[in-house]
Amino acid sequence: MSITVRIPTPLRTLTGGNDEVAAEGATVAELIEDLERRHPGLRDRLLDEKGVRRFINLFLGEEDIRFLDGLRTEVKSGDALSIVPAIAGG
Amino acid sequence: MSQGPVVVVGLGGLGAPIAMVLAKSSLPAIRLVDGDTVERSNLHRQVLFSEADVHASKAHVVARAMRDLGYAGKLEVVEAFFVPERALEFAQDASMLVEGVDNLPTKFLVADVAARLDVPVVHSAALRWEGTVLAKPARGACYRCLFEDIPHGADAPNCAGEGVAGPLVGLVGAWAADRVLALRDGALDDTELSRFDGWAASVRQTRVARRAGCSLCRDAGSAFPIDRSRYAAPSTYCVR
Ligand SMILES: [Zn+2]
Repeated sequence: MSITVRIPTPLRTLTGGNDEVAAEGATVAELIEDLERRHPGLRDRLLDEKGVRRFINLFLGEEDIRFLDGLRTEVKSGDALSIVPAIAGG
Repeated sequence: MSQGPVVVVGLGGLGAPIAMVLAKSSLPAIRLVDGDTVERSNLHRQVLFSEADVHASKAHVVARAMRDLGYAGKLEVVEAFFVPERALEFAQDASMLVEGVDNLPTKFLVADVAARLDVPVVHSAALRWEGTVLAKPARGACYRCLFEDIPHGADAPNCAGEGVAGPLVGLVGAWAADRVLALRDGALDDTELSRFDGWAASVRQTRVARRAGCSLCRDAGSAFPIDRSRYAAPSTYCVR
């Protein structure tokens, strides 16, 4: 199923400037693999060998996936995945 | 809450509107901390500064503007940068911290100092068309619960050349100040993350829970060393 993924400003160079892209998968991990196929380089900006990078938070809807089932969290049609990195500026 | 000052760290595009909103509040004391001076290149995105302020201390210009707005509380000006060696001194007696600084190491430093002092803190950031405000009650989840540590290498955001949309900093700054007042009133039990999308004109709010193993929360801030080596700037971060 197709899920909307919200891309933060620093990563939009990898999505052709798009702030929202679509990805398919049944879990967050599968979504990220599909994102990588569509937008090469994106996976490495989100994950390292230990899992989600320390500097990044993934929210499914309003919930941080750390408090769901992590990368194994199941997604369903209509969900939106938000990538939230620490940003500085102003 | 104690009668100590709310300490505003950073008086740029976010700090200035934060101070302006707080000037209209009944806070008994506010301390402004910024070692920077107004540059001509700042003017286009900083609502408060005008041509006549170029080369003047940002902290003094903001303090004057707050008085002009009628702020009658105690107002302290610290014309210096919030650096690890002096951060605890500048935050002394604070009842709360609020920051809108433009670099990540200082955001982590503010988080660590707030934990050490066991006071609430509000973090705010704006980049291009997006902004975040994290409002943390004294015992809520901290900035390090969310972002762990200063990113280096591949983790460091590459935002060279990023700009901030002028109207967005005003909005995010005003919201950060509103959260200061909410925390003062004890209206937040948990840490709250607000995310602004200036392009879609949307705001999303989430409660943030503590992360098991957070180095700052584990020590309750008390044993967390505030040492320059912890705040080395990553090779790339948002500078302007
Ligand atoms: Zn924490």
